[in-house]
Amino acid sequence: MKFITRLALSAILAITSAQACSEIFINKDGKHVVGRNNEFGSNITVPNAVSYVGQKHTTSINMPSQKIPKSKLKIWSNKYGYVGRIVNPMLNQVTDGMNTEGVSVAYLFFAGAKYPDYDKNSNKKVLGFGDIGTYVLSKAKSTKEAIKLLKELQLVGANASVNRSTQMILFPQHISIRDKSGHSAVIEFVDGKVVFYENAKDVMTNAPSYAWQLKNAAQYSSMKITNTKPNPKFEKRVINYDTIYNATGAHKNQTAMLGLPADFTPASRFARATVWLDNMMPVYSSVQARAQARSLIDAIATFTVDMKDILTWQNIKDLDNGLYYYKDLYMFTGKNSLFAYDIEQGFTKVDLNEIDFTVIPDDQPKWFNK
Amino acid sequence: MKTITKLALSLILSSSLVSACGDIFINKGGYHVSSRSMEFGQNMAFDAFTRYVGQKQTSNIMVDLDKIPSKQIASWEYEYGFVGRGDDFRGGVVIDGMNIKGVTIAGLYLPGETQYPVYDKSDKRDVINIFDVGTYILSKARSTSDAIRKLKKLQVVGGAIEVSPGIYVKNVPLHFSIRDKSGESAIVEWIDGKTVIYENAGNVMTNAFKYNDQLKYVEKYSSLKSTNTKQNPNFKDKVIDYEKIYTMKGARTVQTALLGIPGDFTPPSRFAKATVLLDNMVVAENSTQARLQATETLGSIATIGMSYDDLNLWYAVKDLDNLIYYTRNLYYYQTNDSVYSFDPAAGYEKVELKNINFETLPQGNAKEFKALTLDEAKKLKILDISDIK
Repeated sequence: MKFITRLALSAILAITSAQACSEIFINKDGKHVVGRNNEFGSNITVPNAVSYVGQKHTTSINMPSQKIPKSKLKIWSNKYGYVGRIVNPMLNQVTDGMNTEGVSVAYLFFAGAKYPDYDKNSNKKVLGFGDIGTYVLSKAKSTKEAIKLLKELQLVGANASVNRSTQMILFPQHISIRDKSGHSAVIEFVDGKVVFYENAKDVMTNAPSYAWQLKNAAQYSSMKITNTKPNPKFEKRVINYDTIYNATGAHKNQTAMLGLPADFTPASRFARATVWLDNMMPVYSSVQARAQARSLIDAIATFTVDMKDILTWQNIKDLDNGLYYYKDLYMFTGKNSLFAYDIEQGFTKVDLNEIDFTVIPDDQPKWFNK
Repeated sequence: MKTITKLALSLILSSSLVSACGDIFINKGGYHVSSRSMEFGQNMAFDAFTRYVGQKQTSNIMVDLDKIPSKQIASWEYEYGFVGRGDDFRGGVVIDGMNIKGVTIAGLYLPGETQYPVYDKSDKRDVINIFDVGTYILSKARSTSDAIRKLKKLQVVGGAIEVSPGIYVKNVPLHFSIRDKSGESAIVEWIDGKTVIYENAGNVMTNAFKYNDQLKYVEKYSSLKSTNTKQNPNFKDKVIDYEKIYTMKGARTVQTALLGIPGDFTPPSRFAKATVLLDNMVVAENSTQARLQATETLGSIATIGMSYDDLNLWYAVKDLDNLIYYTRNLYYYQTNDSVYSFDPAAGYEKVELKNINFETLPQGNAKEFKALTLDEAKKLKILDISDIK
C-alpha cells in the first residue's frame, strides 16, 4: 500500500506497508457467519460507522489524471441501512460491514491488483473501487443483486482520501460479498480488468489470485478427520510423521491434519482455513457458529513479529440474525509503538434490529462527497 | 478431574478421551504472563476456587490407603492464598491456579507416558496424592524453586479423583507446569513410576510426548526465524510449493521465513508451533500487551472444534507480575451431541488477587479439607482410566 502525506511526500512515497487480512465464512447447517481479521500497518480503517436509509453519495475517484466528467460519476442514495468500518468518515467508504438484509462486504489486501482506467467510450456511470462496498451494502439485498448492480457500472481505480493530508494511492485490494443464503462472490482487479467469481467459497486471504488460492488449497483436500490411515501425501512433509502418528494418545482428529502449514503467508492461511472449515463439527445454534468463527479467526491471525502486520481488529457478522460484532486489539501509537487493548474486553455487539435506520440523525451528512 | 454426571457415565465409558491442552509463558521484556487452554472430551475444571491462608488440608489418598501409615500422609496448612480452577468435590482438585506470590500451576493431560509411583514403605517422606500436588504448591510455595524444594520432600503417589459423587477414577494421566514471576519454570511428570522434575524448563507445555522428547523434537524447528532472509533448506521439501510461495509477488520475508511451522493439532506440532511463535514475537511494551500476546498465542495453538471429542472449553491467563487471574469459557458440553457456546461478546473475567483478603476465612468456607477415612476409602468403587477408554 502506498501511503502519502502531502507534507512528506518524497519520504513517504517509498513506504510499502503490509497487510495480511483473512476472512472466513461459517456457512453450513443453515448458519451464516462471517469472521475477519484486519492486519495492517497503520490505524486506517479503524472508525466504525452507522449509515442510514436515504443518505446520498457521489462516488469519489480523486484522480484528476483520469479526466472523468462530473456527469459520469455515480450518484445514489441508501436503500438499506448498514454498519461497518470505514476509511474516512467524510466519505463513508466501507472497508468491512453488513447491512440490514444480511449482506456482508469485506475489502482485503491484494498485492498486484491493477484497476481499470476510466473508459470514456462506455456509457455506464463510473464507480470508484473504494465505493464498491458502500454501494453494495446500501443497495443490495443479496449477493446476486450486488453482482447485477455492479455490472451495470463502470468500476475504476481510485485514490482514497484518509484525511485532508493523506491518500492511499490505488491501494490494491480485492472484495468479498456474502449473504445470508450462503452465496458468496469475490471481485478482483487483474491487468486493468474486473474479474467476478460469482460462486465463491468460504475463505479469502491475500495474493495471489483467488483462482490460484483455490487450486493451492485443493492440494490439502485429502486432510479429513475421518481418515483412519496415515496420509501418503504428507508422510514425507512432516518431521517424524510416523512417530507422531503412532504415539500413544494420538487422536485421528489431530493426526489427520499432519502436514497442514501454519505460517502466515496468504497461501498457507487460505489452505489452513479451508481445511479447518471443511472439518469443523456441525453447528447447532447461531451462537455456536459465532463461537466457531471466533476460534477460526484467532487461529489464522498473524503474529506480531514486526510492525507491519498488526492485528488491529476483528469482526464477526451473523448474517442470519443481523448481529455485527467487533473487537479492537492493537492501535499504533507514538513512534513504532503499539497500544494493546485489554483482554477483559470481548467483542462489542451491535444488533442491527435495534437501530432505527429510517431516520438520518441530525449530526449525520445527508450527502457524502457532494 | 473429569466431571461426569451419573447420566453421562455410560457415554464416558464408551468414548475415548481426547485432550489437547496447551500451556505457554510470555516470559520476556520483564513481563511474565502464563496462559493455558483446556481442551477435553468432557466438561472439566469449570469450578472456580478461592483458598485462604490458614486453611488445612490432608491429602486424600484412595489407592492403597490401607498400606500407608496414617501419620505418613501429608497434612498441611495454607501459607498463601490462591485462586484457580478445578473440580470441587471432597478437598477439590485444582488443575490451574495462581497464588498471591505470583506462582502458577497448570495440570495438563499426558497420556501414554504417565505412570504414577506406588507407595514405597522404605521411603519415609510424607505421602501426597498426585491430584493434591497443584493445591499443595499454590498454598505453600513462594517461587518455582521453593515449589521444587518442597515437592522433593514428599513422596508422590498415584491417587484417584472423584468424577461424580461416589465414582472414582485412578491413573488419570497428568503433568504439571510450575511458573513464577521471576520467569522461572519447572515441569513435573511421572514416568515409569517415578517423579521427574525438569528444573529450568522452557515456556511451552502441551501433551505427550514427555517433556524431554518434546524439547528434542522442537529443536528441529529452531531455524525458523522471522529474520531469515533466505529460503530455509530444512523446510523446502516440507511445504507444498515452497518455492512458489516464497517467491510470489507480495510475499514478505517475515512470513515466508516461517514456512514450515506445523498447523495440525498433535501435541508435538502444537509444542513446536508455540515455541516458534513465542521465539519470534516482538517484546511486549507493557503488561497489557503481554496479556494480549498470551491470548493470541493460545488462540493460535488451540484446537478449533473438529469434533465433539476435543472442544476448547476454557482459557486461563495469569499475569504473575500484577497478580491478575483471567478466565474465559468457550464451550460447555450439554447433551450427547450438542454444546453450549459462549458468545463472542464475552471477554475474559478478571480476578485481581490484590483485592482479595486472603488472611480472613469468610463464613461458609471450610477450615479444613479432611481426607476419607480408611473405612470410607475401602468402600469406594475405583475405576481405572484404562476401563473408560
